[in-house]
Amino acid sequence: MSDVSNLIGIWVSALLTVMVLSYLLGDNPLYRLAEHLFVGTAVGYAVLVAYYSLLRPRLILPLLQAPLENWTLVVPLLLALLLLARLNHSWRGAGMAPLAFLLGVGVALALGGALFGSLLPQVEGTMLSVNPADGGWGVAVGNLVLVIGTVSALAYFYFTGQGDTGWGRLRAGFLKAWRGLGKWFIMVTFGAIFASTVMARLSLLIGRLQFLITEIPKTLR
Amino acid sequence: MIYCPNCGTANRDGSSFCNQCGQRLGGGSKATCPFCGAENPIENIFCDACGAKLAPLVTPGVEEKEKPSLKGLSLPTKPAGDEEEVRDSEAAVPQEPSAPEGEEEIPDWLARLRASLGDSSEPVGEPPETEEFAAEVPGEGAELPEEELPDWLQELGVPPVGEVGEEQLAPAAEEFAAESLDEGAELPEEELPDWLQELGVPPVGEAGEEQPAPAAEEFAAEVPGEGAELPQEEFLAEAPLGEPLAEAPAEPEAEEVAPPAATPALAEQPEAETPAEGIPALSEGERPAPEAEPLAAWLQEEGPVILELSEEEMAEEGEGAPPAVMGPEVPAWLETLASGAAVLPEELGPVLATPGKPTPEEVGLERAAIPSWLEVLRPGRKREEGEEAPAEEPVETEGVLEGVRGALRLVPDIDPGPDQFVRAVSAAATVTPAHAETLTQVLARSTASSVRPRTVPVPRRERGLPWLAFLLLLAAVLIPLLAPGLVPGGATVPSALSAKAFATQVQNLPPGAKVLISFDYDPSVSTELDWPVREVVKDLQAKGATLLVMSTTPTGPGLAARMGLADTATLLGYLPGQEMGLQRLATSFSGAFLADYKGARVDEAALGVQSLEDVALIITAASSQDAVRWWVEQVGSRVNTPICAIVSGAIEPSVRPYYSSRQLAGLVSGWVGGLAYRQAVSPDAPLEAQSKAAIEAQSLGHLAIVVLIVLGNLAYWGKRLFGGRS
Repeated sequence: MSDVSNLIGIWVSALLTVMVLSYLLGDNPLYRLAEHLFVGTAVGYAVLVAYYSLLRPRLILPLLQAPLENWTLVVPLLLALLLLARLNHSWRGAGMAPLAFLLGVGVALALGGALFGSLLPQVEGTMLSVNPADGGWGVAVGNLVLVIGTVSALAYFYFTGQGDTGWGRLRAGFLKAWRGLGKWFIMVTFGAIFASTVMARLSLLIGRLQFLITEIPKTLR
Repeated sequence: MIYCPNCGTANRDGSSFCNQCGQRLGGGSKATCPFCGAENPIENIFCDACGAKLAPLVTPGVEEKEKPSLKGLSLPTKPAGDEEEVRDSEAAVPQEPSAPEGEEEIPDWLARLRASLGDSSEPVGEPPETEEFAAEVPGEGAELPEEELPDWLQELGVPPVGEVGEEQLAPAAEEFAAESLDEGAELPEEELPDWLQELGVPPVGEAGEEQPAPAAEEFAAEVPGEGAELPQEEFLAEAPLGEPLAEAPAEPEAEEVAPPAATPALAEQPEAETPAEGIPALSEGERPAPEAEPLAAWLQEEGPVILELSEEEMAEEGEGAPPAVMGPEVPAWLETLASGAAVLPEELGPVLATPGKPTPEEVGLERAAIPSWLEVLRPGRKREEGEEAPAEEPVETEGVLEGVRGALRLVPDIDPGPDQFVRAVSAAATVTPAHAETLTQVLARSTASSVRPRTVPVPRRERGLPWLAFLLLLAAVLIPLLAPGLVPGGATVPSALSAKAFATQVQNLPPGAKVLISFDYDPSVSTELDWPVREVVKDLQAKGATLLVMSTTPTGPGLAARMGLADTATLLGYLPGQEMGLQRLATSFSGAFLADYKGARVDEAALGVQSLEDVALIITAASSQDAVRWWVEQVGSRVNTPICAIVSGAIEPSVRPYYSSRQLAGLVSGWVGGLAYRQAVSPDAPLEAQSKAAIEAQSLGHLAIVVLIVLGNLAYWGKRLFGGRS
């Protein structure tokens, strides 16, 4: 039985792979069908997982088994129901309260995490030694490039600094030079991101082609 | 500034009337948007509802219709009506100021007067058009039918035809002519600039003929019949009075002319001396100056306007004069011009008053000079109909305005004068119709055609290029997969320090260590991440580690189960809340998972994990940088457990800074990173055939992409440098 289901699974996935690749010929019903199947399956699966992993063990069962002990769970239940009110245009306002609660908690959490988890450690990570005696010339040059790139990229987003006085003009010229340098670092970064994306997508293509080349012949034997 | 809804002129704040056209301003007036119909405050330049421009295009609102029918410039000039009719009939009849056709609005004070007379439905005291009035006076002794009389005349007690003979008013006209000639003398016409003549400053001798003001005054004194007194000051205020007339005592004249019914002598005046001929009765030969030219069109549009009475005059006339009678705001220079004092020296009046007298030059007077301040206000010449613009208006060639000519006018229809103010007003007045025309053309178009993107035809020889690129890339990928080993050196795995660090973390784990693996990716990238994850799990299991598997995405547990981890590891399942869930997990492991992937209750005591500090290594396999960031920010900043990441190659540049700052203990990026990890763990182990083929395909595919990019750029620059646009 498992062999049969495995066989069907391989052929269905192979068929869906070909249907998705048919997009090379342009938008067509086969590609649309595969796309809708993918989205629908993913949503259905996610709903089931959310029910069995969250709603059932954490909300429904406690309220059914010991409602008096777990009466506080009514609050998140009401908030969740209010979220559904956003589906109705005339009741949309009622859904603003749980949405505001979610956004408020999320933003507060993200702010604290960004400050102590990203900003400060990243600033600290750019405080590197450029002394060749510490790690050799290669490390020193690498650290210097990293520091210059970080500072110039930040200067690119510094939009003020204009001035008519002598000091103001000097400061503006200094910032302009840094901004020009930062622009190039940002362009190199975007190029690296693009190249990484291409490489990742090419890996996906290779994986699917390898699947078609290796798995389909196995089922035909 | 308050913008006039009629002509678009900017008026000072607090203005009640437009100083350009006399339009009533301010108050509760509403301006109706011509496009969406929304009502806006009169001060609005753009519609509150749809953003359409209101000031030039505004249509009269509801309250605007209650404006007084008197508007225009405060010039002692003839109305915009037919000149012949004016000459024939208006000598003794108060000339109705030029109001828009069909306009029946009456001033507030007239409405109150009408209400006081008991009938609010009919206008009271509103003088009919001059020609209409003349037509209603067929002749002496004629009995005008009751129903043909305007109600306002009936209520005012206007006597039947014949009772108020037209000739009755002639003496008054003569008196006025004499007075105006005395005080309102003027330079000869040939000495005036053309534009000043167009302003309608009456030449000597025509003041009595053309100006309706004296007749209005006379009419004010004569018309009130029995039992109905029309306030004389109202007529005085309505009529475009000249300074001489304004200074003339009105009451004595009103006393001189008794109501028609009480003065039969007036009715016995000869019929030949009708009001229409009353002023000519001054005698043709006595005309000291030729007939003035018709008013300029721009001035005729403005029409006559009432002059404000001074406070002293208002006080003299009593409290009955309502504020509504007050004329529009008139610039001081126009009042001065209207009085003639600015142009005509007083000593010239007596000279010109009498026909046959010498001209000003003959009496030694200098030619009147136009003050510089007045010269700058000289209006420009309006372009004649059919006259072509100096430059061809451009036709829009693309966008929603495609095909529309003159959307951006090069030259306004009116050649502006020397002053910037005049130029600005002219431009505003001419841009308005251009905008309206453009909007009309744009709105008339079908939406589909206007928003449809233009298809750029691809030359036939270039149509196969995309397919050529696809085939090249497909060949570069397929050849290594079908025939591995064809690419020399293609299976060389690049070394990666981050992958080595990852391998070091795994190798340094003590036997039986607890490792938490989070599947934070979805099936769309499973082809890329499944293999490196599987390699790491295999090594961990080989080390005897206790695997705790979880996911921050709903699809993650399924991917873990597909690897068989549901049986060989503790599959905790899905942790909801994303960032918040991870923060809770870092705070307290207890209670984070109630049931595992199979629905069994999670026994934390049996697991031996009370917090993440009890875990030796945390591994996240993520397809988005957010998932890695959540782990680093919410967990890494709270616990000391090292965190490693297996990520898709697409997000590696975004995640690598966390490795550089040592917030990540190791990093494996995609398939190539997995191979590097494999090489770091087992340097001497040969690569599997499938992995070797995959890495060759990846290398050759990258080479094909580079070749395509270089060729494309060469073609582009070659075409640009040598081929031109063709």
